[in-house]
Amino acid sequence: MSHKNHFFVFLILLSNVLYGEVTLADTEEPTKEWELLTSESKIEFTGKQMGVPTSGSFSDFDTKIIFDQNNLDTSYVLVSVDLKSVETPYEILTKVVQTEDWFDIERYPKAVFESNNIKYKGNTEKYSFIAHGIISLRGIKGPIDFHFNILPPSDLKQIEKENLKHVQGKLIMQRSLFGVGQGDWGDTSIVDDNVEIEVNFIVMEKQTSP
Amino acid sequence: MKLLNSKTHFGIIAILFHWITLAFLLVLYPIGYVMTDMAISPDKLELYSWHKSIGFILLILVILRLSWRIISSPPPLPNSNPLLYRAIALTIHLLLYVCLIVLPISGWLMSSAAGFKVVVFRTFELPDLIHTSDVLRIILQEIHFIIGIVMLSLISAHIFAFLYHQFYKRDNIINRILPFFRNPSR
Repeated sequence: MSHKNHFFVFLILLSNVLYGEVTLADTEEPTKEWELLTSESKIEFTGKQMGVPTSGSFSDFDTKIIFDQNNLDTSYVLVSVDLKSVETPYEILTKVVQTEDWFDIERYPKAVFESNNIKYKGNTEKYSFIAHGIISLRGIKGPIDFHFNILPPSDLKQIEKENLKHVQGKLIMQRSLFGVGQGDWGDTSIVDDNVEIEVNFIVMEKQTSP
Repeated sequence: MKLLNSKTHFGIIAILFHWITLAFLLVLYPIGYVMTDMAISPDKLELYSWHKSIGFILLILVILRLSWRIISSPPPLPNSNPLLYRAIALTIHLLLYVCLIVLPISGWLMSSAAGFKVVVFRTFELPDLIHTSDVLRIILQEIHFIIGIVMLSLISAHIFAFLYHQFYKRDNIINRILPFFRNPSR
């Protein structure tokens, strides 16, 4: 092999490395990651028993949100809810939903929603975005759609930072698919199968070091 | 059978109101008694729903009944009874009406305070009368219970009066409120 050839090989290797680095930099666009402001955020749920709307909420949850409206392909959402943090208007009711028949928090302390399939539906819709995801609850995984809007946090007076967004959305899940409400509680003529979950997250764009 | 009340008898409308009220109470009291002691279960929720729904219908019925009382005044109490007895009877009747109004309203208030709306027969949602409050809920719960007991005592007195007239005085005063008289009065 001549020196010329060696040089040629070197060039190819070099260009590969360079090109490789370039492509790497191209695909790894700066992802917009968002941090949850827990104290400003809410997850509430409403079920119906005998036609009576009955609500509750969770106070302890965490998220990993990578979201860029212009790059939905790389967007990703993970919400993990500590079911023990459930609250309802009645203490008795709170205790009941924690039992084996409902959330069974001893065995399944968390509910998790995960999606990397987020689509834009258009701003004429009630909800501009939809996240097709999987919810894990009570040891069962099931597909679910989370409908949401990204709003400016202007309606929240106490917050005025510019890099904040308000994620407002809802999902409707059928409790029977996850075995929430066992035995007599399985009777959906008393306690409705559908439970509406309302989400209000205030998120702040993470400052990634350049 | 006349629709309107006469000088000596109640008309069919008033008679129906009276006995339907009794029928409602015969359902409401046992449900209320049983449901409150039950551990939380679907059955308990169902009983609460029935109790509240029937209670609301009773409230409407009592309002109609009182309106009817204004439209068609009831027969005066017979003079054959001492004034004191008549006064006692009128007082008990008045208190019964007060209870019939206050009892369902206190239940409604209690539901609002508890944060559980009243949805009548799962169909229509009543507005909340007050905001959710644990303190008020507990107070109203007591009021609802106490008025329930008070009304039960009044009903007992009412029944006692019937027994007194029927078996001691034997004046058949019950005929005034029966649709068909056993001893048609002359």
